[in-house]
Amino acid sequence: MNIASIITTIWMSPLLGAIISGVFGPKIGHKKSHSITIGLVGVSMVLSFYLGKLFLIDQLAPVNVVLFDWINNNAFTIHAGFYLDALSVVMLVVVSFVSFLVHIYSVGYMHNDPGYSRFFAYVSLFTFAMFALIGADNLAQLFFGWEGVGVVSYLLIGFYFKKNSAVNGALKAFLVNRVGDLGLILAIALTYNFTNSLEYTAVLEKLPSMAMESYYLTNHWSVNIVSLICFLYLVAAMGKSAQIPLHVWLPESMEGPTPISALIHAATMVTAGIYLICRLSPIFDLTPTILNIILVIGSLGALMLGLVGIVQNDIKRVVAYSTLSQLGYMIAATGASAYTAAMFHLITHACFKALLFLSAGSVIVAMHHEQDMQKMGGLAKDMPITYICSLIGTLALVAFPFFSGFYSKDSIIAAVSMSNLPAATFSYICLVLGAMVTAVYSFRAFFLTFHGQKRFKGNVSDPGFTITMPLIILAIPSIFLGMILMGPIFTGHMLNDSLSTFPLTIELQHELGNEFSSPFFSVLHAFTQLPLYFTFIGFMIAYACYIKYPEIWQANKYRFSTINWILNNKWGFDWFNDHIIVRYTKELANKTYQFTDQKIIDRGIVSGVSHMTYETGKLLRRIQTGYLYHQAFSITLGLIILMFLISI
Amino acid sequence: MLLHKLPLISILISQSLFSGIWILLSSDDRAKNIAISSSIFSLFLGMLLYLGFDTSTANMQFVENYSWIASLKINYYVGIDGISLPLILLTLFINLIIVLTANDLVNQQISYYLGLFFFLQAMVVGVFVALNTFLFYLFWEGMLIPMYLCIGIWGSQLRSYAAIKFFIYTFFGSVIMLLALIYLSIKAGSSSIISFYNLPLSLYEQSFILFALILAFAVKIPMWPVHTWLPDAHTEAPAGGSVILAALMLKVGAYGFFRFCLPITPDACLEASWLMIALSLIAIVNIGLVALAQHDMKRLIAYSSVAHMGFVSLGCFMIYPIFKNSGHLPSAQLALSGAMVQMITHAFGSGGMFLAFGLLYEKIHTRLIADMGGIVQKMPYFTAFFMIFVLSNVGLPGTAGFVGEFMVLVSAVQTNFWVALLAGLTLVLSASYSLFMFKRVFYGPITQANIEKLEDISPHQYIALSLMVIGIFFIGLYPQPLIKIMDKSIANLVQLALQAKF
Amino acid sequence: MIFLPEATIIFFIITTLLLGISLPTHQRGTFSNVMTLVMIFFITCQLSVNPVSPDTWQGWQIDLMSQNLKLFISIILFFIILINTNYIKNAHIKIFEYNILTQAVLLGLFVVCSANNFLILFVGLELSALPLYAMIALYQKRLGLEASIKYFILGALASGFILFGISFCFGATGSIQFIIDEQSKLSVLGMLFVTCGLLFKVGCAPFHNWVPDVYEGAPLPAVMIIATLPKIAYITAFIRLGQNGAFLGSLQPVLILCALTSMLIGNLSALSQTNTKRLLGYSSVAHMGYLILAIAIGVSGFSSAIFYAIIYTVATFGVLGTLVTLSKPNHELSELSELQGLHHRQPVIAFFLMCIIFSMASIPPLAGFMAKLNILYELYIANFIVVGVIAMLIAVIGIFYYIRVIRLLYFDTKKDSNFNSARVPLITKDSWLLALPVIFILINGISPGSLLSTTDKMITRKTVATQPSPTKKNLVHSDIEDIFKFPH
Repeated sequence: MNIASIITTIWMSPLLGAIISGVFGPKIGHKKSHSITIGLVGVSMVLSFYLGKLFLIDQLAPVNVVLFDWINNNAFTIHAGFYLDALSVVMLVVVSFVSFLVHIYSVGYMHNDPGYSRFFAYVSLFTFAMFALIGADNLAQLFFGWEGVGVVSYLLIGFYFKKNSAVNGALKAFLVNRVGDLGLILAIALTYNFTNSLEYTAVLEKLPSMAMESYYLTNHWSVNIVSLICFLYLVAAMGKSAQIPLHVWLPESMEGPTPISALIHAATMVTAGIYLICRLSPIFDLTPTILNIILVIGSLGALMLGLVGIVQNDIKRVVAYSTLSQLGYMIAATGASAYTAAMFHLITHACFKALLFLSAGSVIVAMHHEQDMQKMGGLAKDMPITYICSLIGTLALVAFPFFSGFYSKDSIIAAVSMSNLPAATFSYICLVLGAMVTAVYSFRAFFLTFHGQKRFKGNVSDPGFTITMPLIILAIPSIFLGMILMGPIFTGHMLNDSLSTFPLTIELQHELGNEFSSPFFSVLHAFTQLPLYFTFIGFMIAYACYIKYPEIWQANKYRFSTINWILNNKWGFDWFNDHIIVRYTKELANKTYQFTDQKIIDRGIVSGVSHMTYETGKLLRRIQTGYLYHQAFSITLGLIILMFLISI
Repeated sequence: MLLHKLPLISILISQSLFSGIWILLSSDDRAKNIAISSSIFSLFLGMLLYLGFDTSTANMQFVENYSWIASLKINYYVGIDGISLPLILLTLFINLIIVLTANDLVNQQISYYLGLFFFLQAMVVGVFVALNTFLFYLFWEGMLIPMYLCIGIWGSQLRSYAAIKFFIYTFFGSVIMLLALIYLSIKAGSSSIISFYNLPLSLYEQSFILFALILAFAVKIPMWPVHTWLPDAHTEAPAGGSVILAALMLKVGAYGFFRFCLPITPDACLEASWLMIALSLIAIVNIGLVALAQHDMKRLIAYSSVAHMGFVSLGCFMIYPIFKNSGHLPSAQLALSGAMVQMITHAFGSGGMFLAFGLLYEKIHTRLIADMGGIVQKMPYFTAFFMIFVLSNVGLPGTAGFVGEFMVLVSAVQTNFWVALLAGLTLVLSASYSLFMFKRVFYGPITQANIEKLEDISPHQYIALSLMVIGIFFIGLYPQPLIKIMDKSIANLVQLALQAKF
Repeated sequence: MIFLPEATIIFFIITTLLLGISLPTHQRGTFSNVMTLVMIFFITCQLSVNPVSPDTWQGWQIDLMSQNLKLFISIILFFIILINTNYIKNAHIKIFEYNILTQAVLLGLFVVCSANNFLILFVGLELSALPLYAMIALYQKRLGLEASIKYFILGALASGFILFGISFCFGATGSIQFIIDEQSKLSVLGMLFVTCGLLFKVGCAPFHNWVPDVYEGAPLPAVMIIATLPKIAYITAFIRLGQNGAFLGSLQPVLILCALTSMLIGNLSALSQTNTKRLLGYSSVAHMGYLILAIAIGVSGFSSAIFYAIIYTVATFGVLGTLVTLSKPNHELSELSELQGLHHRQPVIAFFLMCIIFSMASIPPLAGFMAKLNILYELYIANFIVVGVIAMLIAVIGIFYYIRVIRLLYFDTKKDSNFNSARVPLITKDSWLLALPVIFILINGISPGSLLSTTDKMITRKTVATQPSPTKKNLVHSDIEDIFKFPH
């Protein structure tokens, strides 16, 4: 099998599964639906691993596979195709792996759901779209995948369509994402405008030569071309990867089924923005301004949204805010030009965040779809497997030494500390504080769920094999992946060829390579750095408040009421969106409709003219009295007027 | 080649006309069968046109030219090029869909209903093939009568108001156009449209002619501010009428831009391009907002139609600033191709939504969004179809709606960044109104007792909707055949449109 | 034998009168009917079988135009009589008198068609007008009598104008030929008077106000004659005057102004009418505007004027024929609302009516459009572009009431009991008769070539000789021309 047919198979088999399950699902039944989709995604996964072996281990040179022409004329050429290099293959592996596990997990989680086969169709469709996104060799196909995952995400968030909160969340997710998409399409348009191509290779070759040129937005306002393009790509990434202020959709997306939260809203789709920035890293490196913005946005997100996670009581929301915070880390890493670190964290995060979500799902199943942590507690004994997996996930998340999250997160913080961009210091402070916050909310959730007293009635137990098996499988990379990958990524330059080769970036990579030379050494090194201590402080706070002295905490809670109020209102973003943007848009829409469209154009001009004509007609009718002498008079008058006319 | 020797176009038009008469005169039961077979036969003729079409030239093909009214120098002169062929195929395709679903959409005088659509098909095809101005005008106005009757007879409560508004609006526009056409044909000494292309005209003349032409075409498209007939007409028309209106009648206006405005009055177009771009952007943004404020589902779809057609006019007139800024023709060609593709793709999104809504309306008899809710629970397949139409309308990549918008947007930045940004707002706006409507109508709990009683669509409706969906995905995923058909003609048109005439 | 048709008519009038008196009253009607039809048959044969070579005798002109239009008038009259037979019989109109008067009208119209000097023209006008006055009163209802008196008095006024004008012309040129001397104010003034009188006769603004009253008051069979035949015949008078250059000088702007006013007033007034006949009256005022506009263009417009007149006549015949068909014996269908939902009762007739009305509204592919297109085309060639634009804009106003009628016919689903019971067989004798104008309109809408070339031939004969030299244009003319012409 050559690479072209492999990648085609990888791409097409989830689509096939989606079509079979979606169109014929109700006819062939649940069992066949899931067997077919799982089987087909399994094929994708196996082949992806094979590609992973070729490109990551054997270090094959990048391959460009062209499938067919989408549009081809002398003005414009876009084709569907794949650009396979380490970067895309690593994403392929991650996506197919997590997707496969989520498929299996869903068999148990979605058991007896009326939309069973529909669900599997959606998940497979998502996988298909995600493959299109990450494998694309041009920006148009990337956009196809980008929007494709967006719409599947929309469908899946609104999966429980009877619930108003679910459909509202879905709508919100789609619309907020569309703002990002607007940025992306404008960026693509500008890219095409200046490079006459949309293929990565051509774009990345031509755009850097324009680094110094300016683009006139108006006659007197010019901006740097590359900065503008990068800014728009950043907007796109902010939408998809849920960065402030476009992050508001992600918590709402938790209305979808939990496997989806794991797959789409934690492990894969939301990282598309980071992938996009890494993919285009050569041009991002040309614009320090944008990098600074990225740093600020990323680190603000990492800290602020992590803080919101502390006050959440819904188990999934905590994990969601944790995702937001971690995405902030990744974005911040790209801002510091540490693309390898960003990708590294992306990979490890995919594993442990999927693990955490699936564990949460496992708890939810066990608790009969109760998601409020205040009604849980003491589950550790009854659900040992879930407990252990959650623990592993949590440790990975808080960057406990030797766990996978430790290496990736530490490398990000280290990279930011090494960066000499103006925003780096601010960013560093945020990220380090963020490490503490991470520990607080992670352990708070962990303790509230599994420790303390039972705050509910009835018995619980670990759910069935299909649910626990993916947890166990995911727990393994959550522990070891960091150690394994650290070497190849930082010292073996596994991803380097696909990323920016800007001198500063290479230098940073070297420094990271020095610091993260071996798993053990980097742990030792971490003891000389702040993050580990802050993580520990965070752990202590959580431990103190929720295990050791909960009474004291409860008694003194009111002292924090202002902070609590701010955090509960999620920094006011939702308020702003609902009360300013949505409200005024609606008002504007109503006003435009009623005033411009109805009043002025329709009633004013159109009906006005016809009314006037009609009235004139009626007036004429009144003049036509029917009296003979009037008629005779008017005839004579007409004659006289005409006589007058010819005499002038 | 044998195909070229056959007068295929005339066969197609007369076949539609005779089918129309035949159907009118037959009983309701038989009418449907005749209609379906005639429609398939028309489509077969259309396929012959497609097969015989040579994509390597911009010349008119399948030309037939006979003297008709000598004293007015009117010839029966027809032919197709890459701009008209896709539209003809679209016409035949849409008509087939309407015929397939006719029984579900109207319940009185079906034979008349079907007959009217065949007359309409003849007229619309005629507009696309006519190469003589007066022949063009004849077909152009000929569309009015069946459409007027269609809205008036089978429409809902306010149908007479809507029908009359539709009629007066379009008639007003086309009368003005006629004045310009007569001027042109006298000036050129021939009424062949092609002969106008090389006719030297002063800027002064061109401006008047362009004004007259644009008035007619803008009403049909419709562009802001002459769009207000459309929501009423769409809302009151029966579903088939709405589909034809959205899928074909609006295209006729845009086709006018391609066939008349750009090549005949290029200099005036250049002068007016900023205005047309501004109006298009108003249509896209303002009408997008207006759509958001609608409570009537059909009205919402109608307004979204206007907003989407804004891309067509935008693409048409953007070529001037693009050429000024970039100086090379292919960039302008991209914009124009985008406009052309948008014409085709819009038919699937909007047309599909109107069709689907028509099927729904026959079951629940309300158009108000507030009266609906939770329909997905009773009609899952129908909802799936509707979702696809909505997504195409939203411009999701992979569906038809994306291709044209993408091409126009990509070229829009060459005009001006802000033009692109405003046009790009449609991404957010169209998603807002479409999905907001979708949410309220299909999702959520069931709000009404009569929704409880709904049943999912029947097999032949399934077929009709599937055909639309296949169209949507085919164009969305593989638009290359379409692009290939029109490529040469568009390239030629760009050249005509960008060269000064005096 | 240049008087053959006229002689035939006179013979038949006398015969019908004499023999009719001798017959019992109840047989007179049928007898006169038959006689009229036979007469028309004879005339038609004479006019069509022998192609008469152009000939003149004093002020009597025989040419293609007069012969063809006489033929056309006879044919239309034939159908008018056919379609009215039933109605008149049941509606208690004195059928004998009706037929006699019709024959007399025909004679007058024939004279007008052939008139080539002022006197014969005047004779023809009066000969045709007097029976018409009487015909309006046939119904012997108050409205009819009132309309008849009105028409008579106003008509007398107009005749006075004409006679007055003729005397001026005679005074200026010393001849009763259609000659106009642009240099002489008297001649121009005289011609203005004659023109105004003629405008009154065809019902063109500002001399139109008898039209709606007469249409409303007269019984349908009389309206059918008043609304159709005289327009054709009187147009020939305009054309003969025009061929002698009467309207190329200072009268051209007058005609154009009258034409535009006529369209405007006709269309605007028609908007708010509720009576079908009044509506039709105003519509005819508007149509006359277009006709006069074509005349005003000059020689090149005459053929389109005849074309327009023919199409207009056929369409009017169709509409009135429909009304006659739909009227009940004791009740004349006159209110628009009575047409409501016709489509459900009589789909075929409704369809015919729709075609005709769309034709009147000048929607292609119907003949009404071709007629307007022709005029517009000639206007453009004669460089009256702005006039053309105004005329077409006014036409848009007209659309309102035409499609309102269509709306009544088709859009109403009101199905109360008497609507359903009134359902009649789809195709009756009358609906066949009504099909004829529809077919005519359709054919001439799609392929007007043959009719156009016929009308063209009617005109070309004399044009070359009487084409006025351009130097004759006076100052007023060129001033007005500047206003109306399209600037280069």
